[in-house]
Amino acid sequence: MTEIGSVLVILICGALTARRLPSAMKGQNVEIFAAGVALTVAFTLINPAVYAWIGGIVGNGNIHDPVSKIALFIAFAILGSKLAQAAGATRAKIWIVGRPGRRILVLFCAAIVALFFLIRTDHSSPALVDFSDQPATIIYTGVTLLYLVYVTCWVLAPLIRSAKGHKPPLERISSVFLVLGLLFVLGDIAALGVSTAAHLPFAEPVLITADVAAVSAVVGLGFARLERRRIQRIKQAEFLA
Amino acid sequence: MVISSVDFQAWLDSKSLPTNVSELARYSTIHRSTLGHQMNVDRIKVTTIVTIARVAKLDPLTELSRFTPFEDLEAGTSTPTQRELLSQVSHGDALAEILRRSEERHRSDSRRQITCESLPFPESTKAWFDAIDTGDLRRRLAESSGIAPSNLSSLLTENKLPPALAVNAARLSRSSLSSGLVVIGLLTAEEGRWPPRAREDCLRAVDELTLIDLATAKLSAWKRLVKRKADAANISDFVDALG
Repeated sequence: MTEIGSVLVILICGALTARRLPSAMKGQNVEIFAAGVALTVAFTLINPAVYAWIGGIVGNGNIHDPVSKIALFIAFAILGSKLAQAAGATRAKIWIVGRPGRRILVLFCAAIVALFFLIRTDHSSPALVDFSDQPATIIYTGVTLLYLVYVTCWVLAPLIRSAKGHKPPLERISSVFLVLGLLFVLGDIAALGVSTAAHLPFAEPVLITADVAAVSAVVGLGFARLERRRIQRIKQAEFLA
Repeated sequence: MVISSVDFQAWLDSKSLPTNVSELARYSTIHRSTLGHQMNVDRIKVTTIVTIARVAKLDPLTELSRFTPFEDLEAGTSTPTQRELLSQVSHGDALAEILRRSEERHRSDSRRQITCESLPFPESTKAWFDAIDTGDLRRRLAESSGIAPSNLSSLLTENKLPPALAVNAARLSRSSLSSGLVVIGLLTAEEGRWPPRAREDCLRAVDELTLIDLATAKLSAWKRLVKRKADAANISDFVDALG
């Protein structure tokens, strides 16, 4: 289930990011393209097959897991800043990619690396699922989700506020998917909390929720892209009329 | 359609105008570096010739016709058609004429005259192009000039049609060759051989129904323009950040 989900997420993220390459090369929304690349890299690294393959290369290690987490942080920071910009939330943007935001990002990256070295691992395991009985692994996963929740908390309310009022249909759909993606991020940490409290392996629900969150966000961005193209087509048609 | 430095120098020489860049810059008030650059790249702008002709008290239309790309310009110039003239009437002009007529009906002593907006006004080039377009002028002009149709449309909408394309468009549609240069604002109406107050007289002469149709069409075009500006502004928030 998680493997199929992972492949689907990689395909959707990769395809929609690749679609943005021509416009990114012209300098249009390069940040979103970069976030797409970082997100695709993050999800590719934790794909079981890719994970096992890289694990073999790095001597049965898991060092690529924190790398994927850092890639996810970068993707989320960029995405968060663009969502804040879209919603006109200047303060949120400062706290995501401004000086304090960058410090917090570095802090989370350092915490992830430090926590990773506290986890006792003896074989390669995607998302460190096989070591989920260790408190350090739960904290490690929790810290990962905490950064995503941190960014979500800054942009969710402004995004919902900005989505209100009369908007073109594609923009509304885009907003709905983006808000859904952010809600699933909140759901993700809830899934971790419930799994931990119930002494269940956290991997499955956390990974599935993360997949759904990523797909929702990327599809939301896809609709925003479609809206831009629709407006461009209208303008072109008006020129030719 | 490029005017070369050699042709330009020959023309200056034939008119006993200064051929030295510094002297010519002083004479014409065109910046020295601008003139020097045009000479260096061997591409003299049409505006340069028009400016110099005006300073030298020469007829810009006649002088432009001395250059190969515009050699048929003077011979191909005729009185603009009613369609062309009405295309160069803004929504404000049309409404002013409606008000003038209404005033005239109510006050017999009213002798108010309207003066049309100076050219070019927003989308006036596009309006002229539509007026002379008998079919697929956009495609033919794009093909003959080697320009992408979308770029041509942008040039028309933004009133940035280069003189060579304006003349070529008139040539392809078999209309007066100087009209395009008047419409883009390179030549004055007088320099383009338009009769004095041609637009005002044309507007005054149209019947009521045509005037109402004209005002309606102009208002619709204005509405489209305002709406497009508003749409463009909307892009900048959500779609511009994420799209």
